[in-house]
Amino acid sequence: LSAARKRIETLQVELKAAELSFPAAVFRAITEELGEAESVRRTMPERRRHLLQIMHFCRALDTTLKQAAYGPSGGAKKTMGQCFQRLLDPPLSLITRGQYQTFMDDVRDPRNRFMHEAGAFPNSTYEASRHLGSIGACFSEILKLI
Amino acid sequence: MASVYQERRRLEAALRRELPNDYVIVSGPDHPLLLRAADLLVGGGGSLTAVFIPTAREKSDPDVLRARLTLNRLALQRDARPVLIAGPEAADLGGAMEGDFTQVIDTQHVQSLVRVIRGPVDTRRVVPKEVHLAASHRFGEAFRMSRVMAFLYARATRRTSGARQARAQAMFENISEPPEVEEGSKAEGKSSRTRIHRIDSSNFGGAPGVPIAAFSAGRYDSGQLTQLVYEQSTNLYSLDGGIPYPKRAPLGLALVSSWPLMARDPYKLVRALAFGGWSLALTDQVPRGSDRLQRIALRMRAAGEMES
Repeated sequence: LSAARKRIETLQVELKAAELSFPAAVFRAITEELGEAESVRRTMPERRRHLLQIMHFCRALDTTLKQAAYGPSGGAKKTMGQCFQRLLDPPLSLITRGQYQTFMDDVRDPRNRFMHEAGAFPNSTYEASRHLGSIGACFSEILKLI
Repeated sequence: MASVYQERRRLEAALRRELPNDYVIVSGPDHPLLLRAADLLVGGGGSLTAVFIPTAREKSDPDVLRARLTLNRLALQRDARPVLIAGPEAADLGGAMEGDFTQVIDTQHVQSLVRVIRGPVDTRRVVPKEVHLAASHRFGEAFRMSRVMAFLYARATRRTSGARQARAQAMFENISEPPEVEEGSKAEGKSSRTRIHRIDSSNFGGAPGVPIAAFSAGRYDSGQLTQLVYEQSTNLYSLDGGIPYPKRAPLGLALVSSWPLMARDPYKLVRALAFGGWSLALTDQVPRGSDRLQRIALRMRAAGEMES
């Protein structure tokens, strides 16, 4: 799976570099979420593991995204889509239209399905890896903005 | 002489001894946008340090290291500090590339590396926001074009609903429409490596000026893909003082016989190729002189003009 240790470590090091942009408790929570994605790697059955990994990645991304779009004081009740929109629109204009669309399709849509739809699981390890890869790429791109 | 892998391990161990525990160090990072990341990433104190250990090829050809540095600078945080580790055998390389790195450090001088890692941001080498945006725009265009081609392939090979077909067509007509993700076939498990042929686009009807590379059937070789990405990064960016400034140049089109998908992160190669300025299509999807090829070429050229 893309939640392999090296990928998570790479995201953690990028996160660490942005540490001063986060309130200490928020930074700690995001770091722990990424750690959880690694610690559930032996969870069985497999579909539960996939769901947990996606959930931990998404929660880490969600909080990071709110920080990037609204700063430490705002964004608590904003949706992922609203955060991407804010990053796209002036005055921030921090992401391109192409990034916005890719994030909405590859990250927000599957995240909403798996987090909110009863019975929704990735159909295979391959599908889970695909989503984790996309979420990880988005996470890395958002960290560059902070 | 120690290999790059041994050198990474040695430096990682030394940095773990010398740096406070809250610094995060990763050796051989797996970055989602890069085929070859820096050898070590060190985060802490509010900044990132990217450590490059030159390979034998990079020692003999500084342009290869320059291309790797270019892509890393675009993929990592804007204020990441690039550091080159160069022993006496790479003194020429160190001298030639001194201006592009925050510091060139001798293999044995770990304390110098620690000082850079714990030191201030290198303000002269912070990549401007506009440069990162230009790179993101190019990446976005190339990646979405690859995905549209993957989707059209999937549509052609399986039954899809009328609405999805209409959506796929809309995606092709206007890439700014929201696409759906579909997978193509997995890379063939053949033992022989794929070969890459460069095609003279002036003789490939409909795509003048657009770099075209054709892959033969076979196993994808990361070294070849890296080489392709490096060549294109040289066309797209000019490295000056460690900052990769975008040049006006079209993105490239890579024609493949199967989608290069990886098990661990299926889109990693497609993503990394797009980040390096290559869009993918199956060879028979874009026949020479076809209307589709002309339209793709138009988008590749427009993306290279950096119009977002």
